[in-house]
Amino acid sequence: MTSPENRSQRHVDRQLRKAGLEVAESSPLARFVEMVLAIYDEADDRRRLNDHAFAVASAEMAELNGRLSRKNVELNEALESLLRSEEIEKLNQELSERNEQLHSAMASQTRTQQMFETLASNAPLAIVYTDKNGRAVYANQRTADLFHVEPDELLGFGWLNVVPREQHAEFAKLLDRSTGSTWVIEHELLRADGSRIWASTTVAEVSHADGSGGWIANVEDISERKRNEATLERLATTDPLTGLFNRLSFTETVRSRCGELAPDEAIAVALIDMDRFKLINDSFGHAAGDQLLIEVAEVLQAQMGPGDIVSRLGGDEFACARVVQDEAAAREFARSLAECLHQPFVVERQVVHTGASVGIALGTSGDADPQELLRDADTAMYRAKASSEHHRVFDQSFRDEVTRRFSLERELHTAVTTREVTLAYQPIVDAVSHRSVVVEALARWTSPALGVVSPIEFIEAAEHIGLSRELGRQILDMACAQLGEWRRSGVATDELSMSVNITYAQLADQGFVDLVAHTLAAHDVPGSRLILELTEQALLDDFDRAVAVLDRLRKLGVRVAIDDFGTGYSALSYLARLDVDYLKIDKSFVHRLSEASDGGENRLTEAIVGLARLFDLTPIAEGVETSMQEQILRTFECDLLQGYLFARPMFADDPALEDCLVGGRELRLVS
Amino acid sequence: MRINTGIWNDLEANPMVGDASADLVLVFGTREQLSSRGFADRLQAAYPQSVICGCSTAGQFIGADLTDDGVALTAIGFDRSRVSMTARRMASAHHSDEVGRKIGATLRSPDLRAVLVLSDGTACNGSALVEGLSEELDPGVTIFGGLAADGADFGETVVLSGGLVGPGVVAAVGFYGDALSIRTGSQGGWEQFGPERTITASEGTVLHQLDDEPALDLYSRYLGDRAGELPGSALLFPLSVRAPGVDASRAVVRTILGVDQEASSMTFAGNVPSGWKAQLMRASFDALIDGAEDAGLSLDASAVDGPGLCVGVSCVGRRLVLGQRTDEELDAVIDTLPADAVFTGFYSYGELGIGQSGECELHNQTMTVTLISER
Repeated sequence: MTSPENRSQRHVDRQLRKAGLEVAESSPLARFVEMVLAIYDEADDRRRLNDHAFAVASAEMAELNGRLSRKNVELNEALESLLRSEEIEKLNQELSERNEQLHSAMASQTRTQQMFETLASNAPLAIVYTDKNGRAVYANQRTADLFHVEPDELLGFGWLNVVPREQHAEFAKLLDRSTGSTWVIEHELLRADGSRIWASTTVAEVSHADGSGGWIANVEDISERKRNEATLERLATTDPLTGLFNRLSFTETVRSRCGELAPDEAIAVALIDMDRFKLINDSFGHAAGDQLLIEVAEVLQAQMGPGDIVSRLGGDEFACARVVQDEAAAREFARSLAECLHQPFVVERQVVHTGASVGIALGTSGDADPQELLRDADTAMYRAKASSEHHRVFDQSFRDEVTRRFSLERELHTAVTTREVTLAYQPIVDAVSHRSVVVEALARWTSPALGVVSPIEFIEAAEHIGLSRELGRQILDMACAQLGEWRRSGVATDELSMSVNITYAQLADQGFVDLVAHTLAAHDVPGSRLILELTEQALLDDFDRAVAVLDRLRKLGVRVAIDDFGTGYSALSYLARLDVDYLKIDKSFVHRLSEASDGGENRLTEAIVGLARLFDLTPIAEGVETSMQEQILRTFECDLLQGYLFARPMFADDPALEDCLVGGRELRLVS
Repeated sequence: MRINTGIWNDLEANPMVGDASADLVLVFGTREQLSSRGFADRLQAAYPQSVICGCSTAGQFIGADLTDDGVALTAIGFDRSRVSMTARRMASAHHSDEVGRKIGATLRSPDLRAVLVLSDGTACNGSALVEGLSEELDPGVTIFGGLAADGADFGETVVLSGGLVGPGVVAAVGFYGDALSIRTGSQGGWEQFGPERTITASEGTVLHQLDDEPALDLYSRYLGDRAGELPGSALLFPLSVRAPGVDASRAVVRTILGVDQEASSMTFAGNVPSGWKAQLMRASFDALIDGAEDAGLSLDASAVDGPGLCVGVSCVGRRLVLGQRTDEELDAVIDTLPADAVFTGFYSYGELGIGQSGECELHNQTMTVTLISER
C-alpha cells in the first residue's frame, strides 16, 4: 500500500537513478536526501493544511450565507404578515382618508390662492397685502412696476421703506390721524432709484377667523394730478406771459407783507405804466409787444432786491412793492424803476423807447389795503406821466384827482363814442397883413357830467384809456370837414390852411398817412391845405420813423409844423434832417419879450426866428397878446402870429370866426 | 566594539568565544542544556568579569545557522559603553507588571539607552511585564527581548542570569552610554482569513468560546488531521483580535500557549476579552520570509558603520510553518544588515518589540530585530 510519504520517497529514488547516483545508507548523500525529502514533506503538509483550511472556511461562509438568507426570508415574511394584519389595514385606511382630506383642503386653498393671484396680477391697480405689522407679504406686478422693482423685492417692506426719510415724522402724524377700517393717504413715495411719485393709497383692514390678518392697500400714482394741480396753482398766481406774479398773488403777498410791518417800516407799492406800449404794440404787432413785456419784466426783476415783489397786473401795467424806512427811500425806489425802463429796448430789430411812468403809494399800517394802495399808486402814476421825472409819490390831494380821473375816463369814453368832442378854431395871421392864413383846430369838450374839461386833461385821458387814435381820427375828420365846408361856402379862400395837432402816436400809426389821404379826399381838401402840428418831443422820440412818415405826408402835399419849439431839451441838429414847414415858437418865449432891446429873451426869440428862416421854416409866434409883443416880433420878421391879440379860439358856429376868415379880412386888433 | 560568536556543542568542555574581556555574553540553548549541572559555573569561570545572560529556546541561531542542539554563545566587548544586569523571580503571572517596574527602577539611569529582557515563557504575562517596565523607564529607552521557550512542548522554560538558572525568572540587561546607537523593528506576515467571530466566553488570556462554540472545536476542525498535534499545531492559526469599533488593520495577533482538552479551553499569550472580535490568521511561506525581510529593512541599517550586534527574537509559530527552511527567514534579515553586523537570537514564545504605537509591545508570530552599534 502506498502512502503519500512513500510516493515522494520513490520519486526521489527515481531522480537519483536518473542522475546516476548511488545512495549508500548512512552516507552523507543519504543524509542529504533525507533532508530534501523532509522539505518536500513539509511543503506538502503546508499545502494540504492550506487547502483544508480553505475548504473549511468556504463551507463556513456558505453556511453563514445560508443562515443569513433564511434570516432574510424570515424577516420579509414577518414584515409582510405585519403589513397584511388587520391593524395595519385600519391604519392604512385612516391615513388614506386623512390624506384625501388634506389634499382637498390644499387644493381648495390653492384655488383660492390662484384666484387671488390672478385677480391681483391682472388688476390694473397696484395691490399690496401686509401682515399685522404693516409689512408687505404680497405685492402684485403693478406695484412692482410702480416702484421700479421686482415683486418679491417688496416683501417685508413697510411704510417707512417708501416714505422719504425727511418726511418720516410728518408721515407718522398723518398715520396716527388715520382711523377707521378704511382710510386714504396721499403722500410722496420713494422709488428704488430714489425718484419720487405722489401716491394715493387706500388702505383697508383685513382680519381672519384665526386671528391673523393685516392690511390690503391699493396704491394709485397721482403724480400727474399733482403736477396739474401745481400748474393750475401756478397759473392762478402768475402771469403766463412773463412768469411774474399776477394781480391776485401780488395783492395777497402785499397784504401779508403789510401784516408783518415793523412800526418804523412802510410798504411802498409802485405802479408802473409803460408810456408808449400801446403805440409799440399797434406798430409792431402783438408778438413784438409781448416780447417787449417779457423784456420789461426781466429788467424789473433785475431791479428787485431781496424781499421785493414784482408783478404784472395786466396789459402794460406792472406793480412792484418794497418795504422802506421813509418816503425818500420810496421815492428812490420809484426813481430807479422809472430809470431802468427809460433805456432803449430792441423790438423786431428796431430800437424803441417805451419809457415808463411810476407812481408810488406808501402803506404804513398793518391793515393797509393793497387794492387801495394800487389805486393810489395809479393816481400817482398818472401825475408822473405829466412830469418830467416820470415818477411820483402819491399825495392825499391826489385822491380827488383819482375820482375825477375815473369819472373823466368814463365820460370820455362816452364822449368819443357819441362824438361829443368838438373843435374850436383859432386863426393864425400874417404878421404884416393881419390876414388869417391858417386856422388851428383845437379840441374842446364839455362833458355833461363834468363840465368843461381841458384838452390837456382829456387828451391825456384819451391816451390812457386807449381812445387817442379814435379821437385823433375824429378831430382830423372834423377839421378837414370844416375846411371843406368853408371852402365850398366861400367862407375860406383857397389860401386858408387848417392846422391840426397830432400826437406822435398818430404819426407812428401804420395807417396814418392813408388815413390823412382818405380824410382829405373825403372832404375834398387838397393836401397842401392841411398842416399837421407836432411837438418837438414827439418828433424826436422816434426820429427816423418820423422822417419816413413826414416824407410820405409831403408827397400828399401836407405840411408839418413843429409845435412848442424851444420848450424841451432838443438837439437842433435834427432841424437839418427834418423836412418840415413851420416852426411854432412857444408862447413862453413870446410872453417874456420886453421892451428892453438888449433883453436876453428878445435875443433868444430873435435867434429862434432866425433859425427858422435859416432852415427854410416859416416861424409862427404863439401866444401874442400885446402890441408890444407884436411889434417886437415884427422887427424880428416873424412871419405868422397867433394869439388873443388877434383872435380867440372860436367854435364853427360863432359868426366872429367867419368874420375872421372871410375874404382874408384884416383882423381887428384886440387890445 | 568586538563581537565573537560560536556554537558550544560539548557541554563538558570549557566554553570560550572571544576572550574574558567581554562585557556581555549571551547564551541561548535548550532547557536541558541550560539546566544541566555545572553549566552556569563553567560559563562564569570562563567569563569572570562579564555579564552573562540567556534563556531556553525553541531554536537558536548565529547568523543563519539555526540549531536545536548546540548552545549559541555571543561575547560582546564595548569601547565606550557599559552594560548592567538585574534579575527577579516572579511568583506568578499576576506579578508581571510589578516585576517590570522593579527591574525598570533598578536599571534606570540618564544614559540608559536600551534594555534586553529575557523572561520566563509560560508563567509570565508579557504585556504586563512590558507595561511595568515602560512606566519606570524614559520613553527614549528601547525595550527588546522575548519570552523563553521550551521547544514546541510548552513545558517549563528557564532563564539564565549570571550564576542563576531556573524557571519563573525575569532577567534584564541595560545598555548605557551616549555612544550607543539602537535601531529596532518588527514584522509579522500573517493574514486574517475566514469569517469574523465574536469572543463569547473567555477569562483573561483563556479563550472558551467563539460564537458560542468551544474554540477548541473550531481549531480542531481547521487543523483537520493535524488536530492531534495540538497545542503545537494551533500555532499554525494564530488569532487576530480587536475591540469592537477598532479597525481590522489595527487588530493584535495572539498566539496559543496551551490547551486544556477537558475544559475545552485555549490559553493565549495575551488577553482575549469577551465581546471582542476574533478572526483566524494564516501565513504563507513567502509572507513570512517577506515579513522577516521587512523587519530587517525597517532598521534602515545602511547608515551604520563598523561592527554591530543584531539580536533577533522570532516566534516558534513561524518555525512550525517554515519548517526546514526556517533559516531562509534568517537569511532574509541578514541581507538587510551591514556586512560587519553579527546576527544572533532565538525562537521564543513571545517577542518584545516595537509596535504600531511606537512603544514596546508583546508580539506573537513576529520577527523582531534590534541592532546595537557604537558611534
